[in-house]
Amino acid sequence: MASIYPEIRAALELKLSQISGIPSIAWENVNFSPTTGQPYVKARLVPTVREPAVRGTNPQQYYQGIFRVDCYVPDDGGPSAADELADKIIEAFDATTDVANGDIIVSIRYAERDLGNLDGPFYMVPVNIGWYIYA
Amino acid sequence: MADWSVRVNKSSVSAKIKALEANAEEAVKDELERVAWALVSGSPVDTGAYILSHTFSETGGKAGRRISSEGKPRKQDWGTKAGEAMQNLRDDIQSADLSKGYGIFRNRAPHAVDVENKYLVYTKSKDRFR
Repeated sequence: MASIYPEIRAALELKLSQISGIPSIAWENVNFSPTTGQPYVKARLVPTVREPAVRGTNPQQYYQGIFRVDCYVPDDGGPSAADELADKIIEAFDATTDVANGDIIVSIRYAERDLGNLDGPFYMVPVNIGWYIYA
Repeated sequence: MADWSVRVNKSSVSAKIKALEANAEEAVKDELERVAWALVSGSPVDTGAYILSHTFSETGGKAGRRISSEGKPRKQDWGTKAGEAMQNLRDDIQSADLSKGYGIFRNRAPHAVDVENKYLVYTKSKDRFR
């Protein structure tokens, strides 16, 4: 069976790109040079589980993972810009949201932010979006 | 009408409850060891400072191993360091007093935030076991 990860990735990345007011997006393994002073987000697909959903031969598979979105804003400007950006993403991917792309529907388990920290000339707030799909 | 009574053997019941408690504690510790292995197996190794800083503690505050990579030899063997880290966590878990109903895995290495941002060691484990 062909891997379903490209479809999962496409669904989640499309949803992210459609968020109104989202700044530049640094996609995985795509050359991206951040501009100092300009906010951006970095997206990563992190699969954590692939296991049979039922017993027997050729079982349906259960996939689970994280869609990680790091929100970068210029440093030394307080946390509000990063908070607003993170909130926007969390709202778009709120728990129980279904993210559809073609034939597949990726379900969202949770969307939450983590500890903000400084990264070079940026302040970064991570957003972890938990997802799952049966395929 | 006949009177009925139930006689309880307190020492027998008490022994059974203690056995159940011991079984429950063992099951919880087994699950904690699975979490520990998820953390260790997802950890990168260069000097080993990060992987050896994983700690399980039933107390809050600043408890926990905090190992700096400064001055340590690089390119260390992953398996050796992972085995040592897992043994540390196993010892933490086995000696923990779980009756407090609280426990925390943490990593206090000075570069733990950088490792987390790159490898998502705790984020992935949290997703797996939440």
